[in-house]
Amino acid sequence: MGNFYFDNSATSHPKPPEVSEYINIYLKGGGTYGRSAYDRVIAVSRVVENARLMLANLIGTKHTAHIFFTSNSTHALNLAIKGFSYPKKRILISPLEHNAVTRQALHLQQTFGVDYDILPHHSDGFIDLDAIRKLNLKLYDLCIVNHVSNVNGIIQPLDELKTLIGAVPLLVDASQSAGYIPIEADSWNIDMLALTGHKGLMGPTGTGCLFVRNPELITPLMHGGTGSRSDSFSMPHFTPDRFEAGTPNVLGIYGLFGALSAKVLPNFNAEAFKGLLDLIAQLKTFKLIRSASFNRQAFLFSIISNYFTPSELANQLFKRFGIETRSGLHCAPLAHKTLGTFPKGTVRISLSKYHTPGDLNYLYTALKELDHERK
Amino acid sequence: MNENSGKCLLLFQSIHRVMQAERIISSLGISYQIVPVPKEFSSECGMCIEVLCSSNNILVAELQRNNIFFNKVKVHI
Repeated sequence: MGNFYFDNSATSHPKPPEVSEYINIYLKGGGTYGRSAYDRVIAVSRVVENARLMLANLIGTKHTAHIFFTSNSTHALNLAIKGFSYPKKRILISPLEHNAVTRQALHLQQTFGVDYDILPHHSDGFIDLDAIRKLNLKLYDLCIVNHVSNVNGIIQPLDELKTLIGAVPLLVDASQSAGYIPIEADSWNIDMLALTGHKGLMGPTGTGCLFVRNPELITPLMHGGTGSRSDSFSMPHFTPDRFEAGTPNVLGIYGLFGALSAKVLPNFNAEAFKGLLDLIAQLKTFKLIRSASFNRQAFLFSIISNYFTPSELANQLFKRFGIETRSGLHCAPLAHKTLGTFPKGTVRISLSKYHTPGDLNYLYTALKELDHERK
Repeated sequence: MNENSGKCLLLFQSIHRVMQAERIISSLGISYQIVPVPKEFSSECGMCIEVLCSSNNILVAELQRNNIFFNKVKVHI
């Protein structure tokens, strides 16, 4: 039996065995993070802090204390966006943003009069770096970019973009990139980065983090107990405590620690993935929604059919072939407007490191059969 | 009493720093234990690290090199 789950951009499956191993260790051992100093608490605190260190290493920063645990990317993006100040009342966002950003952009507009402009881009949503040079960057408080689109899988050029925008703080949504492609937060000079634990990192849902290079950039989203400075009614000024009110999701962080410890290598290589895309591109009744250049393509893409609506196609793939995909707008209407697939959306195919070349071939065979029936 | 005799407590701002310090102390092969923060030293409700005061020099240098700030208090028995 192959692995026909192709919805890893929604949430990864399967998880490495270490995830359930560590969750079970926590369920048996119990304990909370900090606040006391008996063995059970010390053991939990070690795992939580080791997970924080591993996340810092994963995104290429030495500022471990500037990694704040959150319940997911959306929570992390809310912490960053709602905690930021906007004296110029204008921000830049990429053309392929998820609603985790666009709904907040609308909220900023309606509540505080902060307007947003969309970064200049090519037809596949890739940021037009030459056009960035012509922007009046002094107008903007913040620039927000989805590192990898959750619709067409394009990888945005963060390093070059940050070089061009200079002093404008850059907030990165790494929901679809973390765990799949390298991130170098320090050498790229990224100001803030949000990620989730349950997609590319293959940890449990309910985990994620925000990295903030200069914590003075934001104010806390939540206020409450931290186990430190308990004599004060104010949040501590030091990190990570300042941004981590309340007991963290220790159970989830144990699972995330297991996932980060697992070191899973992909069962397929870039050549096999490119081969799959090339074969699908030859099917007459389907259109691939992907990066114009394979060099900028992450392990997810979309397809649309000349005959099936996205939901019909996803249903055919599941009912007849057992292939699980996601259809519709993927919570990213702006991305679909950019790519010309709004309002119907697409069927998204998102791979896992556990997929084999045989699984990719099975997916292609199913699409080929549907294609041949309709030709 | 000599300043380098007996036991010292290293007090940190946060659990994050305690755990960072523990990794460093452990890697140096210095004997230590994690203990509750005595109420007379701090309002913290967390933990601190107890070491032999004689291990201070190398330890202080290494913690400072890693930007880990702490207060040191001598334990009077």
